[in-house]
Amino acid sequence: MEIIGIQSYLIISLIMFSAGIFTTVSRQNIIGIFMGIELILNSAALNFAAFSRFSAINLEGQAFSIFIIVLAAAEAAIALALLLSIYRRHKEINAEHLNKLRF
Amino acid sequence: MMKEIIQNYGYLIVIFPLLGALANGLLGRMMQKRYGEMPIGIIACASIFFSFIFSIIAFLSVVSMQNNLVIINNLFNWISIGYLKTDISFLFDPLSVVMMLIITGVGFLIHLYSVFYMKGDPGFYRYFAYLNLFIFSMLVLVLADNMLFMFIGWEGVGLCSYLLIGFWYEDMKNAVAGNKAFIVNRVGDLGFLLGIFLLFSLLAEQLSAGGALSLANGNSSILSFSFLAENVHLLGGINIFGMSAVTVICLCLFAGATGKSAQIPLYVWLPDAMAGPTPVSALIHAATMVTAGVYMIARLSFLFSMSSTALGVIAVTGAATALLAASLGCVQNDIKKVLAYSTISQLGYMFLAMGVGAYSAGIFHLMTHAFFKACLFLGAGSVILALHHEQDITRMGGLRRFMPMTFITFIIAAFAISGLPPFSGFFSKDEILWSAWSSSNGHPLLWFAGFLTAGMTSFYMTRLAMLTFFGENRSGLIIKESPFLVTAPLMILAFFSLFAGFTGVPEALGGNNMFSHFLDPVFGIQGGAAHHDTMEYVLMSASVLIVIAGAGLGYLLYGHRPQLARILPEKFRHLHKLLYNKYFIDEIYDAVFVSGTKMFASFISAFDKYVIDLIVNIFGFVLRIEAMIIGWFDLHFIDKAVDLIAEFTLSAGSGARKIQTGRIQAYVMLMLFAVTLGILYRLIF
Repeated sequence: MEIIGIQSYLIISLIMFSAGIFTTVSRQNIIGIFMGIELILNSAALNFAAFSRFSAINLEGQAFSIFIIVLAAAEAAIALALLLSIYRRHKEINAEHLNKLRF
Repeated sequence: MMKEIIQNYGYLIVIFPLLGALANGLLGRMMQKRYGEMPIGIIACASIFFSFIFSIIAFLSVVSMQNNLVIINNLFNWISIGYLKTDISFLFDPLSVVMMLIITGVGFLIHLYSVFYMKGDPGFYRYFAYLNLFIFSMLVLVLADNMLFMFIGWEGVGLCSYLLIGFWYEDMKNAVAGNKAFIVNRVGDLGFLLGIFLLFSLLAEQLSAGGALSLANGNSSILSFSFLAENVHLLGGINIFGMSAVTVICLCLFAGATGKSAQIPLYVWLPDAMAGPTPVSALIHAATMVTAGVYMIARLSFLFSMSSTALGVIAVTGAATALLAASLGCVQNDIKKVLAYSTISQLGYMFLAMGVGAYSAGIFHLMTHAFFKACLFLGAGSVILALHHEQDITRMGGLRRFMPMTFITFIIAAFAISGLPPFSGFFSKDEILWSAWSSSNGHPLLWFAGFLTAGMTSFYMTRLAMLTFFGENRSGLIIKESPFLVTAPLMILAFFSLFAGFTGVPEALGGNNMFSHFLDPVFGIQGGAAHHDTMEYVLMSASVLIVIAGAGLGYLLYGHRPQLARILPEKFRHLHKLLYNKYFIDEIYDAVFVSGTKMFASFISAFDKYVIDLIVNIFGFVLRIEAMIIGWFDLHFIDKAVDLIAEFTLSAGSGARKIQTGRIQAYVMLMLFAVTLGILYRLIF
């Protein structure tokens, strides 16, 4: 008997996604934005795992989740390195002020 | 055995001079700079000498044959298109071996002589390269087995004469003389070429009509002499332009001969050809070039014999040329000019002989003339060298004491050309005169022209000898005899001038006319009966008498009573002026042909300038207008459209640019907004 259905996973995922978007949009600190992005990625990974668990026979969804985690880790490493060098240069990591990447 | 040599290696006769010409022409400049003139002279003389040796072999092998007397050295097939099949092959028969011996023999002596004559000339190597090439061309002309191959030699001879006459081309006068020789020859060559074309096309037509095509497509080529001799009778009945085809062909070919052999009306180049070095004149006048026309007619005697009209034209032209040139020779003061006119006059004799069908007599005279004319020219060269390039005989005189060898040889040759017995010229000239009288094509008037010419010849030769070798030395120079290298050829040539005539002593004088009988097979004469009657003795005595009379007059005027020679021209001032200016023929040609051509050219030039150019300019103007309209349209319509597109793109870009703020949150919001919009769109529609 299934106590925990797919809806539960999707609701958790939705909450995580919404929280991620909100964090990304509202935060000034780049580290905060970054954490929001991590939330979005993880909600997607949760979705994969859930769909795979309830619909597929193989473990493709789980495999994707693992890929996403690995990618997120790699991304985090690069992003933190970038942040460090930005901080060294500007002595701050406020997204509002770092708006030089435009025409 | 010898026959096989010639059959297989006969071409070497022609190859040696060609190799000599190539060696001197390509490497001569370097050799002359590095090793001096010696090797060049040796190469040039040796090549002709080898050629001469082979000529002797060829002569002996032809003589030793029992019948037929023809050897053909076939090298390879040259052209093979339809009926036109031509081989590179050489023909050795009595006629060609005689010519070959004259060319290489006299040519060799002239080469030897030139080694000294041209000493110190910066163009030494060039000179000998041309000279060898000249001999090569002439040998090709003489030995060619067919008319096309012969034409190569024919043109080569013309080219070499141009190169050698204009040898000292830095002097404008010489270059002009070279041009004149070349252009006048070109006029004749056109006739020759037309003759070949006519002969070929008509004969090919007849052969294909008569079903004899298989014959033509077989081994024989249409233009080879043996094939022509057998088949030329097919042309018998054809008429073109209201004349018999054979006559037209013969006249065309004869036009070529007048160019090469300096006959009326194309003789004008020969006196000017004196501009070249003297040995070249000797070569042109004696061994090569001018004999080409005579040889060609003799070679095609079977063709010419078919048309008595053409023969008549040839005989009359020959007699007229002989008379005209001899009259001019009487008053010229340039030693080489006198000799040049005598050559034209003697060539007239040869054509007279051809015209009355006495081919072997013509060739006989050609041979004896080659010896004495070469001797005269080389002697003149020796005199000119001794007098430091003085050519005016009025400023010579008394040379006999200083140059005994030159004097003796010159006098022998002068006797020979005058036709005194027993010098060679007597026999050959006498045979021609007798033929002119007695032959079926002959006429007493033709004989009379030749008879008068004989008198004039002996007159101007005596005059020349008197003014050059007798009397006082008027040059004011100290004169030395020329070295052995110069006198040796003179002696050899004088020897032949004296004795060559004995090869053709006529039956009337107890001889057997060996020379003429040797040539008989070529001219298709089957050993006719000995011809002699009392008339022959009468004519012979008459010509000897007029020769002596001419010589006596010459002696009287220029040796015995020099003052008379000064008075006479003043007495007959108009006649003298006319003769001295060569009947103003050069001026007339200049006025009619040269100026005519120039006027035509300037007319054409004006036409080009004012009519053609105008049309072109109008076209150009129209095009320019058109281009202007198109340019305006391009500027105002096409370019405008292009500009508009660019401007639109630019403004669209600058509008879209405003979205990019550089703030990450704004981007995220935008993205969110867009995605939401997309989802809503999907949900509603």
